[in-house]
Amino acid sequence: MSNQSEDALHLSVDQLAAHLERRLHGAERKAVVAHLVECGECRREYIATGAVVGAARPRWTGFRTGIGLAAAAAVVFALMPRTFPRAATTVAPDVAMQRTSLPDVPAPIRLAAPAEGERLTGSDVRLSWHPDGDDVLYRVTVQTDAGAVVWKTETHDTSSTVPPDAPLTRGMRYYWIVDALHADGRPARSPATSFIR
Amino acid sequence: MREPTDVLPDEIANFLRGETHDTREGSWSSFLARHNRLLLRVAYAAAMNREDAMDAYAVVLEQLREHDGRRLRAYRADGRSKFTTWLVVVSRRICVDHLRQKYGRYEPASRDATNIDRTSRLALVELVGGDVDPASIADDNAALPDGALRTHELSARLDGALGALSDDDRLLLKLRFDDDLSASAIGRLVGLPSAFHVYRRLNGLLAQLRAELSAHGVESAEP
Repeated sequence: MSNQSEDALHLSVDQLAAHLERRLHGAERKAVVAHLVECGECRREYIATGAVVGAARPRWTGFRTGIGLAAAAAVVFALMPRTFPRAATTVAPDVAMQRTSLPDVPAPIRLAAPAEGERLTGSDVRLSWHPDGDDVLYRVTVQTDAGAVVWKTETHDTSSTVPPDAPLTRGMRYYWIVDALHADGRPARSPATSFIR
Repeated sequence: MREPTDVLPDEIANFLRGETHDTREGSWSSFLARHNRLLLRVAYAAAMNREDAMDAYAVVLEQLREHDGRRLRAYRADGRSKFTTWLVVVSRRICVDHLRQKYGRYEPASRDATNIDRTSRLALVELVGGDVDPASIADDNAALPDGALRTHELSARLDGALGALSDDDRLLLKLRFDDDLSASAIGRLVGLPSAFHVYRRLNGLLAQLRAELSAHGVESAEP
């Protein structure tokens, strides 16, 4: 892409970087996406560059054994949809890379119960959330603070009960999160919330 | 309002504005200390082996620094992208240019020219949901004239159905079926939260395509 006339046929550095950050909007974003559909070379660059940029992106399953609650809380904060204001602190570039763009989710799923940090003393672990619209498929995931998935399910309902045979240990803290997908493909996600079994 | 990460990092600003040799050297050292790992990661991702990676890495440093940081001066701290993301794109382009000069341009078997056909074939396989080998779906060189005609019709119908989709949806199909990206990789790239969301969206698109083709009498990928 060093040839100037050839450069004009492809995405500019600024366009590609901005698109990777999901900061393009309107006509410019539309033009970039349309170009990516048609141009295999730019799409390969988009994929390869995106892989490097996103290599250290945090994921919901990214909890590590031994991470303390404070660290877990920090990760949970970083996982919140970008509609939440970010703390305006200067961060090292590597850290900035790891915090990079989260999906453009219009609004998070609102969890109903249990509340953050609630200790559940009953025999059942019933998780509930507020509906996010009609014809929504929800996926509920429960993890340990080490990131191990102990139970997950998919439902169109707005509540779900963890079955008694799920490996939840009394006194342990677990994190749960609800992903939602609307029939039109629009995604949404709840913040990760903890409860103590 | 701009985030702090949108601003040109101090060491770059100091390098570009440095009035003395020592100031510039110190700033360059700071730049390397902060971005060394990232640049190495880019070089290793672009190259096929360690030797090429280290070679490309050296070229990246040389080109970023030459002509008073001409390339670095091109970064606009206007909030559209973080400096590190911009740096990844620039440094990867330098690596790719260098490797092309060394080995020649990589041509992925005229893939662009066959993108539509390949997408059509694979998407059709998905659409009918059967155990059809994509290679077995006739191409334009099909031996039987009737088969070739039918394939041409199928391809035209599918092109029409694909053309009715939004660019975002077409990009999703391209990434999955042309570029063979996993659902989780697609999710990370386009900003969907998980593979689950990608699969559901792909399934929705395929159902849409299936309905569109069915409305035109296409019920099978068989020519």
